[in-house]
Amino acid sequence: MAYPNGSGVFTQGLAADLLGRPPNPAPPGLAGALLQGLPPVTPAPGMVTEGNLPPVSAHPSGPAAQIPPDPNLIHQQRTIYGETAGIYPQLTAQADDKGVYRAENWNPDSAQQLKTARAWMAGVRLVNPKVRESVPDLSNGVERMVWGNSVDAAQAAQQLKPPSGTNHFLIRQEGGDGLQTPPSSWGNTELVRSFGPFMNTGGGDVPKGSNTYIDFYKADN
Amino acid sequence: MKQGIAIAYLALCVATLSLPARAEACTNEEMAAKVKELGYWKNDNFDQRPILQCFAEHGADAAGLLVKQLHTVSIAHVPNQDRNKNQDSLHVIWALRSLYYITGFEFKAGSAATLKQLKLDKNREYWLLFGSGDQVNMFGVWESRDSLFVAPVDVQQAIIEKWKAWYAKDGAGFHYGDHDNMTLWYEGFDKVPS
Repeated sequence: MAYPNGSGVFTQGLAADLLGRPPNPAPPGLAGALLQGLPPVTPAPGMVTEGNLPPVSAHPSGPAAQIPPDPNLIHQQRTIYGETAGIYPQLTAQADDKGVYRAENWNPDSAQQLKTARAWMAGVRLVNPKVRESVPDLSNGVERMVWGNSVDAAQAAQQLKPPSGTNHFLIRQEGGDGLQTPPSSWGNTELVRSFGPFMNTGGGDVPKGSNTYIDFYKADN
Repeated sequence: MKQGIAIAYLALCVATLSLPARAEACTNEEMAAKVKELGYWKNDNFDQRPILQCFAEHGADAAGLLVKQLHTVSIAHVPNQDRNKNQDSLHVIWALRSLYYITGFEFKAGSAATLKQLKLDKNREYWLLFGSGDQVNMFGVWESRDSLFVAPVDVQQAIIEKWKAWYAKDGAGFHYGDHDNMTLWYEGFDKVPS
């Protein structure tokens, strides 16, 4: 092997902080509370079990109650973030030059659609773990904001559930060269619902653009 | 007595002739041609299972040809929209997928710890280690994008050597079959974390 010897260190975002970098300032609110003290995201999501997750404070600023973390909820938050961190709602006609990075610029209907799509994604995660999980670098304001949206959507997933049997989602840029329909390896598929269009700022393999859709499927495989 | 035997024989012949024809098996030549075509399709969004089933029918012969297709590739990442630009690499990936399908197993190599020290693209690292235990997958697929990530060349080389060694030792007598587990043959993980 050409690799250097020694143990590997997963040095991305929060994970790196937990492994020795100076700690990032904790973000306010529930999102920050849920991030604090969690182990680094691992490439094998199933390896994170209730047994190796530390307790999470129930109250961001309070000392008191310790509640056991819900491993599913943590996976759902990380899935939403890992799969959709570069995706934003469409903008209003009055949007300022901060564009997608300012929530006040988001078209409310589009923002609600994206929140619902993210909540459904959390539902799919319960039956299909083949998803990209990731955590933010909390020193980055944009990542912190998107993480907050991910936490909110995972919470909303308790009520916003996809129809029974929905086990895949596909993210595509309409009109581009990329994937538009599920790969044949999924077997027979039934489109359950398509959310969008959204804005994709890149970073996740789907071509950039403003015609991004998140499609949910029931599939054989 | 003789008449009875003759009638029974006649009835058997008629019954045999009236059986539905068995699904056409692909010939050895067709199998070899399909091996050569792997990954060079204009569009790969079609059902490849009939091709893989053909390979399973020819078991050891197909496995030998598939192992011969394996070589290292320099590509690290193939987004779905770039497939037609990377068909030589996809030929190798599809040879591996075919081997997974007809054998039901895969080989990994290297170590997760050393891979992490390479500080690869985060998505590539994630999918190469997804469900892989302490070793590295030859490739991984980001399911919601259907994009492909390929292991570093030295890991590829080690995995290819394992396939060659396996075939030389056990390939002829192995019990081949249809292992239609998409997670394994298409996405390259032998198990999925819960």
